[in-house]
Amino acid sequence: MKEIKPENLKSGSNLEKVLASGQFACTGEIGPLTYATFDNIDKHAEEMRGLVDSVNFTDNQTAVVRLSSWAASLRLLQLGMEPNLQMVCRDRNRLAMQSDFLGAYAHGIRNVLCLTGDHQAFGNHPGCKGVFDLDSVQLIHMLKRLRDDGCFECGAECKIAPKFFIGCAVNPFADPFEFRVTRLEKKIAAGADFVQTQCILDMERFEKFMELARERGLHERAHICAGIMPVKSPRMARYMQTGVPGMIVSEEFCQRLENAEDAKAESVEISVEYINHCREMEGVDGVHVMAVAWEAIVPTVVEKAGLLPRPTF
Amino acid sequence: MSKNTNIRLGVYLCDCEGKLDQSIDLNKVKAVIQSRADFEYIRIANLLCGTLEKEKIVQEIDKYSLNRLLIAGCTDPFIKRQFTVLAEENGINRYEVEFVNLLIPGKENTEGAVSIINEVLLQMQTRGAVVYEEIDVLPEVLVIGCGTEGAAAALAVSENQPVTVVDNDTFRDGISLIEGKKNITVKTGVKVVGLEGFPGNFLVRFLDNGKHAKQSFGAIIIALEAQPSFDPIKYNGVELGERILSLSQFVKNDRDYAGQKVTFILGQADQDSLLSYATALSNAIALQEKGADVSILYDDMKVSADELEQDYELARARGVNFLKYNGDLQILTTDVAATVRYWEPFLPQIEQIRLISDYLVLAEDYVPHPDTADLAVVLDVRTGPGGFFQEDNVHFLPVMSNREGIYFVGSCHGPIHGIELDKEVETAKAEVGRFASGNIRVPALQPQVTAEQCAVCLTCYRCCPHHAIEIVHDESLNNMYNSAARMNPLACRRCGTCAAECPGKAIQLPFYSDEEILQKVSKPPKLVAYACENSGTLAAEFAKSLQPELQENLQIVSVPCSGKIDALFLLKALEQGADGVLLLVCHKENCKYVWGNERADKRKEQVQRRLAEIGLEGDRVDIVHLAANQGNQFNASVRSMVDKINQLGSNPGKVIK
Amino acid sequence: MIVVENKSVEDILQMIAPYKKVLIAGCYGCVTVCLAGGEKEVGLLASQIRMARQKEGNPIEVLEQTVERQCDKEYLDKFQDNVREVEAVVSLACGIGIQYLAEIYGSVPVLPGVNTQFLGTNRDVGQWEEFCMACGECVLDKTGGICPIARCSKSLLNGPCGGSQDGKCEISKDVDCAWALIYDRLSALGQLDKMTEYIPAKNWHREKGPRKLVKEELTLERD
Repeated sequence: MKEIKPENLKSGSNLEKVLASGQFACTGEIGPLTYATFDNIDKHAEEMRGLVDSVNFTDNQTAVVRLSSWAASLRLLQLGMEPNLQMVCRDRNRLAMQSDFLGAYAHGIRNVLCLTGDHQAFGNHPGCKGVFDLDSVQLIHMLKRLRDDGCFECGAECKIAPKFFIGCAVNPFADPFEFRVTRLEKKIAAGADFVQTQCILDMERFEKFMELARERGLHERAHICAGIMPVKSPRMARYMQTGVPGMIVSEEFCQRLENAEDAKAESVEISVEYINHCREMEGVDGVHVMAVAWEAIVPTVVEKAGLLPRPTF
Repeated sequence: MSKNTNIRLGVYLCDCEGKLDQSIDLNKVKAVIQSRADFEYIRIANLLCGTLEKEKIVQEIDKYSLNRLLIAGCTDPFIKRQFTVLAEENGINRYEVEFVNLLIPGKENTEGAVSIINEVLLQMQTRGAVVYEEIDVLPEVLVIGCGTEGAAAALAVSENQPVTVVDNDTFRDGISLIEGKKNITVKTGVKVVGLEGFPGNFLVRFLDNGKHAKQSFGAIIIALEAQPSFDPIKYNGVELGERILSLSQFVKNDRDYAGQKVTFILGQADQDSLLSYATALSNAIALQEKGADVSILYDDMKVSADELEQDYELARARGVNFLKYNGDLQILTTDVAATVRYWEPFLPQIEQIRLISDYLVLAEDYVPHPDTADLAVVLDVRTGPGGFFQEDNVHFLPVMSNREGIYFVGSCHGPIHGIELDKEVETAKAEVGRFASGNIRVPALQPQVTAEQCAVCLTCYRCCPHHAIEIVHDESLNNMYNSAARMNPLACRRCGTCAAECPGKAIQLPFYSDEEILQKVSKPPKLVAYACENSGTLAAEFAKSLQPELQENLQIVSVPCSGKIDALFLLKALEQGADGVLLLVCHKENCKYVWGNERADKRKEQVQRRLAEIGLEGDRVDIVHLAANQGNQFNASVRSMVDKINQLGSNPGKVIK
Repeated sequence: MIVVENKSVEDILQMIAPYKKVLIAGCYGCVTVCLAGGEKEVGLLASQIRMARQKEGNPIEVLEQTVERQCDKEYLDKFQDNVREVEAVVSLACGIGIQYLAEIYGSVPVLPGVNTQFLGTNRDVGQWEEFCMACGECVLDKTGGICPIARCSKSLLNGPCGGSQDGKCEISKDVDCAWALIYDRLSALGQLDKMTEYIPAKNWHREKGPRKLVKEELTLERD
């Protein structure tokens, strides 16, 4: 464990401290519901309490209207846990984004994950106008300037600037493959402090990606956390293999689930294996466990992977 | 066209060997229409299609300087064709010849005959004349491909005009046959990479041993030879070697086979052509004559050409064994012999027969020259089955491409044997021979473009199956671009597809303008049929003789190609009173103009969609693919359309003024 | 060119339901080139309208006229005789022509006969593709001559999002990923380093409202 110098911290968030101290991070994720309730957030938060370093809240995931990610993040703060506010470029222009950041920071939110966002065509309002005023790299850049230079995107001063721990996503499974490392480099150069990868269901490809990332020293410039997804059923695995753009699911992964007597147990097994594998991999500083529609399994996976207890500061 | 003030019209009334006697009094007809003094000459004949009569007409054309003909009698399509050919041979354009059908069985109808003849006469006297253009052309011919086929074409053409033969390869087996010959230039290491211009004045761009070059030619002959391709799978994986040769290997080697047993195996590959049969037969005869013991093992001996039949007889006479096999065969080989095991179809009970030979010669497939696909794109000529040049369309046989001035000779459009090649060379020679004198006179019957309405949108350019259209820029062209499409009279085949596609209605095809066509449907009967002259019109003529009453409520509007049938024509016919519209078009892949019938199919779809949009039944429009001789099919289609219309009732959208 | 698509005849019939005499106004500009508003389409639509109304027992008179361009006043003037005759005009020009026609002839309702789609190219007969969004600030030098604003579904400026796979966009396998095209083009040009360049947030040039372009050195001093 490395010693943390508080003056070197950018945001002081728990997640930042875990990563800065050189400990293997573990984060969770909750998708807000499509109606006006915190019920699922309260429930899953309790399941994850003490098991993860922070919890991501998706921002109108798959372009479907859901309870807003900042409201969910705020709820988590009230419950005494640390949120990671996801923000996509699809729904807000730079004005709305910055105003939301000011409010989120004032409430005590410290982690932000910057994303492009699924195209609106996927969701329940396919004909709406996608904003995409900024792209995710520009969003990261805007947040970094806000934090480090104390100025808005337009250049005007922000007297009390929000100081976020800035995250970005990377998808090693999209094309062109060679560009994926370059794109990560652009994001890091723009200001990303930590990285959460698309869920890894093809370990070979991820290893290749990390090799290229290490060649460019990216693992030394940002904290890379590997995306882990416990997949509930073989059918789900096949769907992700063929039906989700920018996703690669190895044949081996699908077959292991298909051939298992207890697919759910096998899925936990694989997730644990992957986490252990990532821990051994140079340049991977943590895992982000996203159990979409299967949040309740997170404790089992985290525990089996030996990630407990979580560090406290 | 221009207004002709000097119309010299000849009128011929034929009584079809007395067949008209009962119904029409031709003398009376003659007397009535003679009272109008607007023609030069009129005569009644007994059998106008007879040979002597034709000679007489030729003399009369000359004597009275006739420049338009009206022929009233029968309208048998083949007889019509004879007269149009006769007219063209004597300087009268085929569009200056009109026919009137008097041969309608039934009661006395002299008055009807007079009225219809008068109507046609009026048309002929008021419309403009076909104008001829003199066009300078280059006699130089480019032959692409310098194998023996290209060489044969070059030799033939060079008798009349200069020829340049190019080949991408440096060593080709045709070079020695033509190098140094009068009127022939051979260039190797030359690839054709671009083509501009039109027949008579093509500008060809080359990569000449790596350097860009260009040269102009009047016409182009493609002679990129097919290549043999041995596929072991067709012989259960057998490998070629000392004892087993492919047919092309065998032809090339000059070993002495005297006293050896040689067996040719046919039918496992190259099933679609006669080439391997022809090659095997001629080689078998030669081998047998040199003292070899030759057998031909075949499953189906294809000799369906005169000369091949003779070769077959000769081979038998020389003592070549012909052995038939059935189904699969197995080939085994050792250092000293090759064995075929096969089933003899006439002796089904016994085991497989073993035929032991010293050498086996195996037929192989032929594949297009590797440059074929690229060259097709560069020249904008079409390929067909197997990736060979020329589409699978009888109208293009033997040497025509979809473009005027570009011809195919030899195996570039599929495996071919020597006798067929000779015929193709002769045909191509005649075609390019039109350019030999450096000047061509053509009727300017290509579509005309009104620049004011031309948006230079390229739709016609792209839809033209013959690459006959260019966009020209000229200050005199009165639109914002000072540009307009122009159809080249030597490249255009007058299908009219461009006119039907033009979104600005800027293009009109002489004799088939929108005005002329829409006039015919201004007060249409129940049913209108737009008919391609290559199929529908002829089938309708034929059908009329079978069941004339079926056409009483039918207006047939002939177009040169179904590609000319504008979506607007269909809607207009309905708007102006028809209850239904038929499109009578050629069979698929049998359009004389490449894809006119496919365009017609699409327009029918479009119009059905448009009718559905306004709540009219799409069934009021239908398309029938038929051939010229399908009179019964025509009648069946009309009957079924009439039934359909009767079911649907009167067209509620018709706007009668 | 400006690419438009014909409105459904049903919509047009509804718009002109109150009228007994209308003019269909065509344009020889872009809409002729994109096969939606030239003289031919004017004729087809007019014929459809006449038949539809006849069928309803409510006949209508339809005039047809096409001019060079509906985006220039001098050409629009050519409609004046026919416009005086009718109760409404259906314009088959793009949104520009329709508006200008409406502006010039303020006393007659001018109705849209097409939906203006995009600025694009005509790859072949019957095929058009969006190429430009008139964003006001061209970046094609940075992107190998392929516009990420118009051709990336999300108008991204710093490379493909995570939905790009096998050269296709996440929204459909029928849509090329513009950034995959850019990547391939830059690769062919030996300029892949441009993919690493950060392109800052874009000025969408809306700060002056509807855009106007005035070149003082060219304008006339009219009284």
